[in-house]
Amino acid sequence: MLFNSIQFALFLPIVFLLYWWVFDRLMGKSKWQLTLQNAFIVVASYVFYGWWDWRFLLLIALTSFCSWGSGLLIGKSQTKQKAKLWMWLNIILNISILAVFKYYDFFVAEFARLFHCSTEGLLLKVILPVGISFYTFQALSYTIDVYRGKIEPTKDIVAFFAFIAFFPQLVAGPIERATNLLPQFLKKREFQYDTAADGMRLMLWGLFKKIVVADNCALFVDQVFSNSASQSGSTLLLAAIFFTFQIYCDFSGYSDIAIGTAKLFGIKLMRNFNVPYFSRNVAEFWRRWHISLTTWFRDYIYIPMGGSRTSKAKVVRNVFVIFLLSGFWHGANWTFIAWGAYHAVLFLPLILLGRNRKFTDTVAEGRQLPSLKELGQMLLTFVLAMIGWILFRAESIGQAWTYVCGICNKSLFSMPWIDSATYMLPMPLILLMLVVIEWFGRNKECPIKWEKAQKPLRWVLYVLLIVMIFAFGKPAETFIYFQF
Amino acid sequence: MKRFLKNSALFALVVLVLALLADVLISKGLRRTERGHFYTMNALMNKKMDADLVILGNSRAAACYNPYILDSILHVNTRNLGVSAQPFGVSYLRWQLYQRNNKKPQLVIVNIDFRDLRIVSNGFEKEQYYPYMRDSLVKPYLDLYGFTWAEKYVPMYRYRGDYKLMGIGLGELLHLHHDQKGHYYKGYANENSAWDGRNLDEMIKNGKIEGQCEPEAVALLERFLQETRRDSIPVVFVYAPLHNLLKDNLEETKARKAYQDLSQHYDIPLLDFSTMEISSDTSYFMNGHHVNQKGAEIFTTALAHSLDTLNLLNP
Repeated sequence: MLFNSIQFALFLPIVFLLYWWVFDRLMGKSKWQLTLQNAFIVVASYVFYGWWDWRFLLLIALTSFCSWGSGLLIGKSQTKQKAKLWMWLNIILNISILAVFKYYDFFVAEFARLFHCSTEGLLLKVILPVGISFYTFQALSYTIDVYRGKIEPTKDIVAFFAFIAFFPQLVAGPIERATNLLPQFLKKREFQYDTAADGMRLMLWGLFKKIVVADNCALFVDQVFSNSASQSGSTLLLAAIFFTFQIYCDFSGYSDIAIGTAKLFGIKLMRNFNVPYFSRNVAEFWRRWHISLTTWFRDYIYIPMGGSRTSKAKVVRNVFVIFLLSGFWHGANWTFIAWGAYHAVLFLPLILLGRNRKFTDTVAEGRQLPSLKELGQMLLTFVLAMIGWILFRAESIGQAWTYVCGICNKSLFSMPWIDSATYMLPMPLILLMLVVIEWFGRNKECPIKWEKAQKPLRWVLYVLLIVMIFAFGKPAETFIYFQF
Repeated sequence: MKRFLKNSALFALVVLVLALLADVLISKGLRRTERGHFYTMNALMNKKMDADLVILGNSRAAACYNPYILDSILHVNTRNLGVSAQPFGVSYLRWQLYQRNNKKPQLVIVNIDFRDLRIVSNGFEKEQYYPYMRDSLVKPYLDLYGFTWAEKYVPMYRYRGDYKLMGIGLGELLHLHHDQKGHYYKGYANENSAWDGRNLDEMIKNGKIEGQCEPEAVALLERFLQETRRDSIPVVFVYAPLHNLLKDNLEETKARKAYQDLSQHYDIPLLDFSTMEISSDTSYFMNGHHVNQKGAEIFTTALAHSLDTLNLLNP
């Protein structure tokens, strides 16, 4: 079920009302209230996921059960060795499932290509279960945290299943940590008006980003990327800019809707994006982009390998490892690996020169507008990220290279091809609106939380956003990050 | 919780009322436009036809029958109700709308076609029904056209994503803009395009083109013939020209037989122009099954003379 579908518009209010009225208010005094409410979350989440393909619910249940069981076994282990064994068994099991569904065919094809043999009968050609990378990493974080003693293993299997399957973030994150999310399922949730209202605002903003910006950018981007060899430099550049906005609005839009939906159920999810295109260098960009994945790799791979507090050679190795893994996490394709390597190359000088933590505040803090220097830094970071996105979006590294070369020729100064049929004409205005709203709301989790405005004015602005969602919305398009 | 539900309900109500209002206003505006496929539909609904000769069929009807020529030769008022890419099920709706809103014609031509004997539409150009969703005759056809539940009952939902259409509706409503009928003339598409064989190549890439003949569509056509007989409206079946390149790859025995059986049973003249001399010359066609302006001129002239000999019209 997609967040931007009519099915979800019906599903959400029903689940919301049942959750608070039946499983909270009516059962408030029952000792089973919390368990039943969590069980309801599991059922609702499985319906949400099963709407796409119910067969893969078995995989989620298997991942959940094994991770829950391994947590208990780690907790009961008398020795560290035994605990480590249980942790590794669960990691191997989960990574194996991920590998079979996501990476097996890639490795077989590459192996066959390298040794010039046939793949006949060797490829599995299975459908990639939606969100498998997200919930697998979430399950792994629990096992590792239990092993590290950061969290007590839970005996409450229902709460644990709810933690893995919680529908707002099940298919595309944020990848939650057990330390943050699991305790919320172990205690009674209280309905809070402000939290729920914030949730609604975030959902509205997420829908705007997804439906108005991302889906409309995609119409142009898809046409240009499918026929990039014959496009002018200016058209290629325009499509690259559009894709830079598309991927941000698609993914951060999903995250906003997920976080907003969770707030309606009294659950606080971690922030996944923090205006990444207002970053002043690549290191800051990575602190603001897909935060839940970046911090996952940081905490479970980068720091255990020594992080930046080791020899320079090892720092170089560590940086490359996490960026390459991050690229590979996105999919079994050399373009993702190249994208990871590209960012490692951009990140490395900053960490080696000790400038990776130079910008930890928000740009133009306490000011309305950025300085010229900050503007230049943001533009440069945007362009560097955009080049990376070309690699990310291209079908092959060859296409990405041809694409970048295509931009860098004299046709860059010609008029770009504008496809009026794909509603491109209002796009510059829409992008400007997005940038302005995000700029002035850059210190807030939700940039459309206009606290200073009177309620009627706020409502007018919200209605305006809804009108734009209606006017520019296409039949429900899937989210890019579902494929990961 | 109560406050949240109250505010949410109030906000939803505001949005719903605004959506309803916008729906009514945009739909009202769109009823005035003469743009593209809205032109014939709006003329039908706005009681602007009152024709002596009515032509029913799909895009082949719209492309082949030039009312200007028919009017000049037969001295009548002709309206072409051809509707692109649609089966007889939809043509029958047009006929019902025509009958309800306009005077009784002297003659109806049914353009017979190898793809017409179907009921369910592919939803092509379904926007023309947006302003008439509550119309008692249109309503039963909405499912056939592929309208979803939300498109039928949630205000503005069917307009989602089409800001241009919303703009046209509001522009017409506020008299800021009016779309003229363009190249259409009394429902005739009047297109002067050169031959393009890609569509035909696509149609025949998997072998012979199968003509369609659904029993429900044949029954509907029969019902139509019974109704016209009851109302004393004569009907003529006409098979408009097809290019030989298409005809040679066409298997339409069943559909042809159905038309012939009905023609015999109800004593309906069947005029077959599918093999007329222009059928071997691509300069008269846009593609395998649509003649261009030049082809339409030759075909309609020949048709007018044939109709004249039938003596079914009183000028």
